[in-house]
Amino acid sequence: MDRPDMSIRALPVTPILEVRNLTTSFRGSKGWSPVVRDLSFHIAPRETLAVVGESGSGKSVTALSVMRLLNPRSARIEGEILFGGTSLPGLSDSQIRGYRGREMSMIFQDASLNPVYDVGFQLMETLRIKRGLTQRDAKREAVQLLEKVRIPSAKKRLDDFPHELSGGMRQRVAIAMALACKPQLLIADEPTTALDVTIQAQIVELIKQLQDEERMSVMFITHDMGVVAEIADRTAVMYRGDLVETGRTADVFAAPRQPYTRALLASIPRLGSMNGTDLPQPFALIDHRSGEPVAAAEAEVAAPPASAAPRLSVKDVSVRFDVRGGLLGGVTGRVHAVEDVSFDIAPGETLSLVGESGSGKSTTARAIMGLNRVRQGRITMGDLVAAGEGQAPRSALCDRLQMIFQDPFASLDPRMRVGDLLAEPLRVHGTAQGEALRTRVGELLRDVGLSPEMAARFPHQFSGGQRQRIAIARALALDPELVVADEAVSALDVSVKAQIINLMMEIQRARGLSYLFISHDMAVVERISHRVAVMYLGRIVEIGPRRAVFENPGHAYTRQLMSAVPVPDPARRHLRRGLAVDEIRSPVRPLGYQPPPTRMIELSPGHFVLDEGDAAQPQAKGRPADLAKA
Amino acid sequence: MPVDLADPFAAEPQERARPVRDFAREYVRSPGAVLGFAVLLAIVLAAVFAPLLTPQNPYDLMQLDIMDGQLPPGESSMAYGFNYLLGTDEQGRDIYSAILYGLRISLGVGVVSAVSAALVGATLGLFAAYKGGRIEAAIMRLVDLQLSFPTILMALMILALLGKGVANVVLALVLVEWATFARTARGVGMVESRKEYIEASYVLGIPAWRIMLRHLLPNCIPPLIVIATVQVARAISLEATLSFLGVGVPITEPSLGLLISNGYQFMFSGLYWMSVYPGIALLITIVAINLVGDRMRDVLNPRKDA
Amino acid sequence: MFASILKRLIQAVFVVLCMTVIVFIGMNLIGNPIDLLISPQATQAERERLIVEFGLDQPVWTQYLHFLDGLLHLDLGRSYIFNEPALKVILTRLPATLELAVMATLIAVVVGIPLGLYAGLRPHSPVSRVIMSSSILGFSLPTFWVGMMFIMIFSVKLGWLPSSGRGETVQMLGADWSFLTLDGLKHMLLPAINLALFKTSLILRLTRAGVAEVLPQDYVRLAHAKGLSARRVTMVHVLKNVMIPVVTVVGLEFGSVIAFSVVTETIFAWPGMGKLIIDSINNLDRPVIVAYLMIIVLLFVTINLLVDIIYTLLDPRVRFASGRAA
Repeated sequence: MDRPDMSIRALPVTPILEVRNLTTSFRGSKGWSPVVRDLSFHIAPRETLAVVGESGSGKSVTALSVMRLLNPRSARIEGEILFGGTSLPGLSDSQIRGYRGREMSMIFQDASLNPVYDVGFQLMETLRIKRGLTQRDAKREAVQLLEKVRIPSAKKRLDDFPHELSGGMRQRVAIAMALACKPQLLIADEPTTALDVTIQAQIVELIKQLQDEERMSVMFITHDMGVVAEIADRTAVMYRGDLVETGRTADVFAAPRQPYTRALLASIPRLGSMNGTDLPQPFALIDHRSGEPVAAAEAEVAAPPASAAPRLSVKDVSVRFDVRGGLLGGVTGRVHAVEDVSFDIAPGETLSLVGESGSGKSTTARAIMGLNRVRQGRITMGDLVAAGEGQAPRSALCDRLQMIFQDPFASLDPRMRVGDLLAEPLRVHGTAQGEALRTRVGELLRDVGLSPEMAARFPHQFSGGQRQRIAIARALALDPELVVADEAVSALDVSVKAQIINLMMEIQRARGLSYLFISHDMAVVERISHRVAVMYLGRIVEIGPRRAVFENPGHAYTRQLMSAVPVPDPARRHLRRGLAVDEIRSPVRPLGYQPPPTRMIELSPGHFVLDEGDAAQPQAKGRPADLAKA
Repeated sequence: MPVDLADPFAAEPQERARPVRDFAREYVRSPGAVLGFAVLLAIVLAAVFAPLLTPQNPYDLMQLDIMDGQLPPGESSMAYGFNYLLGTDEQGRDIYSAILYGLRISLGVGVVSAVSAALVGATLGLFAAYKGGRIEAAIMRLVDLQLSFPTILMALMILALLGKGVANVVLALVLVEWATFARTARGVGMVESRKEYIEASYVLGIPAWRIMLRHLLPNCIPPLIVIATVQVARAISLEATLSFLGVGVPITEPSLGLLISNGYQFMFSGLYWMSVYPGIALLITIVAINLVGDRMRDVLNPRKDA
Repeated sequence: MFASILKRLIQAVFVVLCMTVIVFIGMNLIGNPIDLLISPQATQAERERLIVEFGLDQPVWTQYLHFLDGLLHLDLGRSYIFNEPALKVILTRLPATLELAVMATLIAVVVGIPLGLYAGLRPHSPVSRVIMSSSILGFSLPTFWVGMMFIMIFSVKLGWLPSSGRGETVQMLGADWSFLTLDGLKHMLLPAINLALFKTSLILRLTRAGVAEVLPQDYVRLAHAKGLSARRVTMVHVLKNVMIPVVTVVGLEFGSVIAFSVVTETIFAWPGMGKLIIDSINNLDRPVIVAYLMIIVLLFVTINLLVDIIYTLLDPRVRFASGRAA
């Protein structure tokens, strides 16, 4: 996309939005405490400012302060906010209402449409009230707005309720609603965070195009440095309520001035940064206070010996869920969550399963752990059957096969002390007792970078990253051969994410552990994997050594997935023109559906691609609602 | 190795968890609830030590003097000399003594039935939540069926079949109230058992019974305690209503409800004390329990910060 | 949608069948069915004749089928006391109970919903605190005791309102109604308020809880971000979301109001079904009890069915799903 020439912006222009010394405080049990401190920034006409930061940085609160959407009872705003020269804090409630929706609009993380009104009502409401249109004009205009955000068959969508639309479509409707009065400023608060990466790419692209068409300014709030690099003219980096650094996006990325920014950038996985290498490699992290490199082992994780017998073997596995409906609650269809999936994992090897929502990657992981029933096929762990016919009891498997879950706030029992959590499996399986047990718990904590004294604490006294360390320690307690990590770093902030990944690699090196690493994040997968399997609609469409898959993707979907990943490098800003309005397809199939046989073609040694022949893509182009309607 | 170099929360280690103390600190921020608790405590103590606090055993017919019948509050006993603080009923029973003894029946019936219903209901509810499938469907069908008919009607019918009696009243109350607990327990249990820590326990090879008792149950307790508190109040109220309608406890062991009912026939002839004072005692008891329950709900509700 | 209603209907029939079994078991297996079905005043010859007539010498399942057969022909036996078909005895009392229950529900809705909305929207105002404290009182006070106090204060001491009976009634649709005359309304006021008290508190608290749940939702924030007035956000975006569960509960609780009218009718000598059932229990008039139970079962199942349909119509999220989760 052609951006306006930078020289135009160099001219002194009155900013659309100017924030000076903004301090926002929340009322707590100990009086007012600032969440955003002494913040100053501005946004020029037609400019995109990205506000980036990790959780707790105050970036969303900043946006809500500008819109004055915080409850005055519990939040206090100090400082100056000028919108086109008018001071917003001085306005009355009805005056600020005139600005909202008309001069400045906002979209949120999860489109947040009212569930009990249809799309048309919510769009037309804005048009009627804010622009004074008649019902008839509003309807015509609503259709045009939906077309503007590239929603296919816009007219029909007016009668749809939010839950009938996919997440990407809902976000498009929200954008259409925000554009209803041609605002001068669009504030987008993490608008793509809840979306799949291919959908995220579409929405980011849409916002960029609309900004051009509508000649508006955008304040884009995100935690994703990749998205920032894609979209922003200038970037403001926030950390714990302070503005750390602001500048032209290219400058911030090329020459970050502050240690925190450097640390943040160092911890971001960049797709393509591993080109030319074969083995997983830890991040070279930087301390966010000193700006110095963190002394961490940067050794690669060695490849497993070629001759080794596989530890885990997944053979022709299918998992299906019944969709019930109709008069008698009978089975009307099936979700073919996992279809004919096979792979092996060698000792000391990391295999990643990567794919978007509905691809079946987590279901595969859960099937291996016995949390989902296997319909067909068999999963073996050495001489034991982990799932399928002749399944071994859980107690026999749990010292070979363990799991780390996604949400570190849900995966630890909140009512047990960390020490008890780690000791429980050891005690139940009679592995250790008494003093030996306590020593073992201490060792486990030390292995994951925590101190043994922390055993006396409860999970809620730890941060997300620390909790995930505890979850790893628990998975290691029974000294397993293979650990399944199901989106284990997805819920963590980038800098913490990098640390946990480094920790996982370090443990792998020390113990010769194997990982099955489930993730939707291509860049993280690139870092950690020896081999990669790409899943789409329940099938593995491509599998092979990481280097082969990433450098020579053989399947169209793999290529699509890779090109959708935002690259945290403004110099390599994607030049995408086509605006596909793709949906993640639904794996719901009618009863009696016979999946085509799985044939893999070997592109290079160990690198296979699914041969789809004529029966290329499934016909059903489903929306989530189809599941409910079925 | 350095821990969490840019973790936004790492630098602020939280203080040690003291769930009970936190609860108490939050609870006392509502003066009404503190008052409710104090009153409830006083009532329970008065009921427990009723024999020590009353001049007369109202159930012992030998101690009653028919000559002292229908005395207004403040009159003294002809035979024994003590003061009838709140008057007497038609048989010369001291209303004050009868109230304290009646409280024992009312509180006893309320607590025993609510606790029994909680045990039965919570066990079935949690079991349903953990097991799922047909077992869950069967239990929840039964709960739905039960809950779609009002408690008072169910209790009335059960007692019409079984006849009067303290044990029968308790049985009837348990039969009508287990479903509330089952539904709550199942709801909470569903939420909890879908959380990853339950799956993590399964993956670690921890036996099912241990997962249910050590992990699921403790995390489902707070909402159940709140429901149990409220149900004690409801049970007391229901027992009083049933006794008032004449199908509850027998006349030999009058609860507060029966005292009110007995006094009712004299109320219009101006002998208000026989009915009004037990009524006030009943009212204060129920309000106190509900104040406590309401505050507990507020404090334990995880959404209170939202 | 049609399939979903049909499914509900089938479930409703199933529930009714279940209840016939329970009532049948209650009558025949707990306690002595001969005592239950035959008037204690009957002579020995009469007893034996009746045992054969009622089929008590038959196996249990034959008796059950016989019972069902009677139900289908609307034959529920004759009342011992009134010596009329039990069903007829109940049905003549039904209008009195219905009008009382409707009036009480109306009061509860008209008072409870606005107060609940206010308390939810202004949770920290002193008025809201008073409302919430009063609501605790409202659901703590036992209905029968409040009824007694009402009579004592408003009828006995102040003499403002009558304490018993239905007052003047007017015939409409073949039944007597009190709500059409001023005197009837006067008679209805105290019992209706009495009956409404508990439900008012319930609806009030439910509404407030609903508001508290809806207000922090993102769609409310979005409505503000669109620049809508606070009034419109409340009346359009908050209200509908709050009202869906409240309407459902009001519907379901209507059944419970009818049940609790047992207490109120007894105190205010209101000649409805509730008073009848208490009298019948005390008089051991079993056919009337059975008839009452079956009518109540039908009534409740119908109410539940209607509420389900209304809920489906109100909430688009359910409208498209095959059925509501229990």
